[in-house]
Amino acid sequence: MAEPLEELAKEAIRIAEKKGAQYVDVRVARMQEERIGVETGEVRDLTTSGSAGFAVRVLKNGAWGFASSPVLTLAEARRIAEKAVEVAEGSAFLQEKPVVLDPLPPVEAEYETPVEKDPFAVPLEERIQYLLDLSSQALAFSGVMEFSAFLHATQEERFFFSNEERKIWQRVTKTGAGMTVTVGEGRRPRASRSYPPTASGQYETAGLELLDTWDLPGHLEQTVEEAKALAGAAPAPKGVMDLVIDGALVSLIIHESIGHALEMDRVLGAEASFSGTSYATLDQLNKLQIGSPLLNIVADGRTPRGLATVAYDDEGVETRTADLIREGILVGYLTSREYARLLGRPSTGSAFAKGWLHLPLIRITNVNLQPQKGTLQDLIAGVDHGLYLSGVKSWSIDDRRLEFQFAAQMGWVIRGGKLREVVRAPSFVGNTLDFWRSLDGVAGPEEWRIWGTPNCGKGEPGQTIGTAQGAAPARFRRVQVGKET
Amino acid sequence: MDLETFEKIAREAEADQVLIVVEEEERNLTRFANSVIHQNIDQKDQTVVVRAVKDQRVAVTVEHGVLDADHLKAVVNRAIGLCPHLPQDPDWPPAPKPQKHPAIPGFVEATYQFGPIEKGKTLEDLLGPLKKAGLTAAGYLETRIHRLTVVTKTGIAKSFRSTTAAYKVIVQTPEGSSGYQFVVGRDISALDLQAATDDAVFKAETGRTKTELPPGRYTVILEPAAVGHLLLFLAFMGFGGRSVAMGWSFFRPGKKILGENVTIVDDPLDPRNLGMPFDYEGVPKRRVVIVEHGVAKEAVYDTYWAHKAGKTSTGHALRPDNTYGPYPKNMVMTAGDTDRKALLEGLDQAIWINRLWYVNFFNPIRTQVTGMTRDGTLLVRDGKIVGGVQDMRFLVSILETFSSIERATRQLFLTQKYSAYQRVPYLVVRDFSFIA
Repeated sequence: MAEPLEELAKEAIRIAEKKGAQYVDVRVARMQEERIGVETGEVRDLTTSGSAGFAVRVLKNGAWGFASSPVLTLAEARRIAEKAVEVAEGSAFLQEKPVVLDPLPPVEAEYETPVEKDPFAVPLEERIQYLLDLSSQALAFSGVMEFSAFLHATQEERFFFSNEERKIWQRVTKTGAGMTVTVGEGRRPRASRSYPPTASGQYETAGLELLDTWDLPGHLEQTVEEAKALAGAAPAPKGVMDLVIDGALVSLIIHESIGHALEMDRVLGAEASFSGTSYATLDQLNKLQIGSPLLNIVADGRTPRGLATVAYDDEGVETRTADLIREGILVGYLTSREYARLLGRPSTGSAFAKGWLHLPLIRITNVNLQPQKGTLQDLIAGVDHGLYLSGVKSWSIDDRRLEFQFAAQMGWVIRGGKLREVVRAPSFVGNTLDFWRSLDGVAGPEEWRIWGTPNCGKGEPGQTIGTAQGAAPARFRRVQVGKET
Repeated sequence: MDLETFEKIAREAEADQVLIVVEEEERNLTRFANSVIHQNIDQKDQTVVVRAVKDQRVAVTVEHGVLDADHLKAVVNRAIGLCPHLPQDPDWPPAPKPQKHPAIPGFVEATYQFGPIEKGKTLEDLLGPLKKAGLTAAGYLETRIHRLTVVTKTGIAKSFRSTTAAYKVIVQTPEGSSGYQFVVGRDISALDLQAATDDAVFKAETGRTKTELPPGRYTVILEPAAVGHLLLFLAFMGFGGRSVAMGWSFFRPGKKILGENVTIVDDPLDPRNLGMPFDYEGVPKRRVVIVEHGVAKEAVYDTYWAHKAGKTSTGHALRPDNTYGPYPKNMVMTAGDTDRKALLEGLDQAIWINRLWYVNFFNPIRTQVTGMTRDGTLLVRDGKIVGGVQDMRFLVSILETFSSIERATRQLFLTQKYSAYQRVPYLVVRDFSFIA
């Protein structure tokens, strides 16, 4: 029997304080999720999920404790509060300095994702039919041998309570969609192309209006044509050349080489056993030239429709904008309350957990490359010899976020400032700092998008959550393409 | 809820088939970095997954925290209610019938009782001396209690409770070198945590001075963690019945795909491999010889993909909400008979790879992956480890890598990646390709 949530939270706080905790927060979350997937004309996945539970996080004598449970009863609230304090006592071993949080004032707040079309209010048949119709249209094109598409929606109610008298309710709605066309001969697949051209579709804090924005049926013909062009294309050339890269791939490069690198917990070694460390060490703050003067990166927890957009993070901190890189120079980090204090700055509101089960960690929120001016065509016109790369195919980066390899879904040769023949399997390797310092063009606001990444992993145990990166097409000079021994 | 209640709900459900999977887990993980405990958690979770089939239409629902009969019935009915929205799948097979499964040990009381205070004390003993030596450590010490229950309308009603203990340690020097080690098992008291720490210290210390090598092809020694990582990816690309049926796999029974010295089996029933006695459909697991002396023998199957291939399930179904298809989670690889101590004998120059990082597909059809070395990449000269090597990016075909094994230890070591275990040897591999 579920108890009223506030009563449950208050009881957990009372017990934790009684057991000696100085700071206590309680998060309760309820989530519903629906995933529909079609493959080559048939519904291959229809999964609905629900989840509810709570977590208690405490600081006792400057050591962290955390416990969580799906059982929403007062008795369980007491047990979990006691467990969280016991865990904090375990954390006291090896302690060098107590963790201290700057106090926050009381607050009572509510926030709801602006949604035009609630995905859970649209009849299931209608959503399935949307995907089946799309599939029929795709398979009607000659040469299309496989087609997959999906719709994915989650809605989560998040309650936050703390013994600083912070009480926050949020309802966050996220929707994702995408499609992949594969062309081939007989049973032999030859080439695939996705739209939107990411690895996992496009995700936003939004409802089904996402489908109006991205218009999958309206992009089907072009996606098929590009897949066919890829099937007959020659391999990409190798060598050092200029690259113009579309926003989808620039977004992923920001995520991997800048977003993760500027999470302050990993900068200080907290992720050394898994996600790794960072090149952007604290002694480099306000000094390190990460990129050219065109590189301006802002963390913005409130970007409209950004996948990480909320009003408060999972520590109950109000989200905000914060400069991370200004004119190429490192000027800030993504922080939580604990880490922000070490910088002497307020938290950027970047601590998030995967649902109620997990501990909040510093995460990429919406980390945005600021647009400049001009168009993709302008960027291409400025290249004499190079490639235009589109879409995300493969990626890998070292544990300091310095040495990377990215592969695009497709490429076009640029000669004399114009797009020429299509090439397949273009990939490039490089060093984060060399790469961003070679940035010499970013398209304007008209081509800027907030790209949602639904599957960012961090922490032990692993937590997969959604992040976003705002990006526009960009141009880079003298990049190593296609290295292979 | 007891098994009888689950059985009753499954039996009375108004569907042709009902599969109820319940996973209960308690996880206590103490994580440390800079030799300080910075994240410490105790999580309790319960997940119910229901797959309903009605008129050859299949739907799945997932719910966390379902704890009473009324909630479970509602979740089952939700799945049944979804079925009419789905097209018929004429290939959907009859539900598996109850079969006896072998008994394997899984639960160890010592692990169950090992709480956060014990973990704190243990870590203080292990890591305290490192501080004095000017070293720091990151990693975790974890215990988990897991219970899997599978119930079907056809009368399957099984439950298996197990414990797992794991210790991961990365030791770091002020110069930036590091060393990694990982141990895992059912019994916390049987894990040699000190030996793992000592090994990580050795690698970190040895790597203080690093040589930078140019890209190229090198003979490498792959530690079990690296071997297991590559094996995991190879299995993703080709050892499951779905990828074979869909034509995505390199795997063709009878075809030689790896070096003659390589045999790979999935053996969940050997307690050393930390397997379960049955899969997520309640089908008993069996030992499957996947590759024998380099020749592809048999892929692993769940009920659906076995039916499509005219075979019987090998007991390798994943949870029903996972659309990936069957997967081998307890692989054992053998590839030689060299003693661990003699592994480096006669090697003029080689690179010792401790651990791989951010491995990703590059060209799946060629089983090509790329990634980085990490946490203890060492230089071998004249049969001895002599120092560190700057980490490098590799781009290799896994089939070619496992066809280029010069020698392998007869001793096998358990490693883990995601939720799969691999018991594998150290390998010496020629022509391993580094691109940057």
